[in-house]
Amino acid sequence: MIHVGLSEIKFAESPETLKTLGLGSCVGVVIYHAQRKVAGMAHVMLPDSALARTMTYPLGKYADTAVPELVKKMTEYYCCPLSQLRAKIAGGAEMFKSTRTLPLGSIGKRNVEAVKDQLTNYHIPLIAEETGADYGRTIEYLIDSCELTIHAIFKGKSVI
Amino acid sequence: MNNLKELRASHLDLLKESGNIGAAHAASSLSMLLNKSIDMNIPSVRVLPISDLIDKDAERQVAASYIQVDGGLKGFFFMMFDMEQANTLIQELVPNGNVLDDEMGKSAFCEISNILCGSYLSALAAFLKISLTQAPPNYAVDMAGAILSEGLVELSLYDESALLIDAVLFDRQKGNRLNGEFLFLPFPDSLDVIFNIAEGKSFH
Repeated sequence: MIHVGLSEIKFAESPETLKTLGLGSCVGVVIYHAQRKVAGMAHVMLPDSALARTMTYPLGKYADTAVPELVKKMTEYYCCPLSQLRAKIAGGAEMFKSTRTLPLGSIGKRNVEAVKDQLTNYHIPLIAEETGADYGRTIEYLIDSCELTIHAIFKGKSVI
Repeated sequence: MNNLKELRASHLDLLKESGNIGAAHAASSLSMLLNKSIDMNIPSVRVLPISDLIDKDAERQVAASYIQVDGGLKGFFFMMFDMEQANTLIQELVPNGNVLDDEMGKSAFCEISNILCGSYLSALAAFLKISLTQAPPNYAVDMAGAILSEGLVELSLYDESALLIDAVLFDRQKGNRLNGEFLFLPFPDSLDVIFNIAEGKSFH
């Protein structure tokens, strides 16, 4: 099992699995090649790197830097044709049921939209998603079976 | 100031000192509310990477209250307890209450966080000679990582690190520690306020 931390991107090949813990408003993005049994996972925290107030940041932190980096490594390093890549995503919740007014709005929803926009840019089909709602998720991607398992405290386990 | 890594030991000491004044006020407010002796102190003030803070216990099941702080300092106050500890705390106020009880349990937990945050902030405000306001608490019960990462999302735009002011509650009557976490996470630019005071003031 390979652990993907906050704002990280990691890649693995069969029979490995990729896991990230406690997704709230963050989105876990998996881009994979089913036949070659290779996949990358990013733990995206924010929608757009234009929001950054720092000079440097991890590429996995923002949707508009994480997805291009996933695609780059999958196509260049693992030599997967772009047209054969697929994606699954989970997360993007709103943990606090409140009316708090944030300059960033509903960050979970925006993260999900930003990731989908990026996938559309690369014409990568989104095969499955489990997003939104108000609960935290731990996700694990099984490269062998292309399954993304999702654990939530009160909802139990699901597989997409 | 641009980066929390620029904070020096003397700055952290100043934050710890002002934190302990706040904690003493918070403890006496809570002692009155619960009608028992509660001690509270600030054992440490640390700068650590946000990713470490969140990845450490990402799946721990916690109840958390989250309060936005505005005024002379901007930031966030978090009160976080493991679910069992949170139930114990709630039952001090509401017998049979629990974290999942959306009415009484939630209100009790939020009220405790409100009082702790309020007295902590009023001491800090007096100490730093600034005015501070607090928004109503937001409440969530879930994985610690999921809750903290959403709470820290705005802070993370400015810095990859966060300033963490730990606090420990001690119930003298039961003789046990209430293992909660109290995090006050100021925005980096708000630290200038503290810096300026640090320049003009010294502790002997």
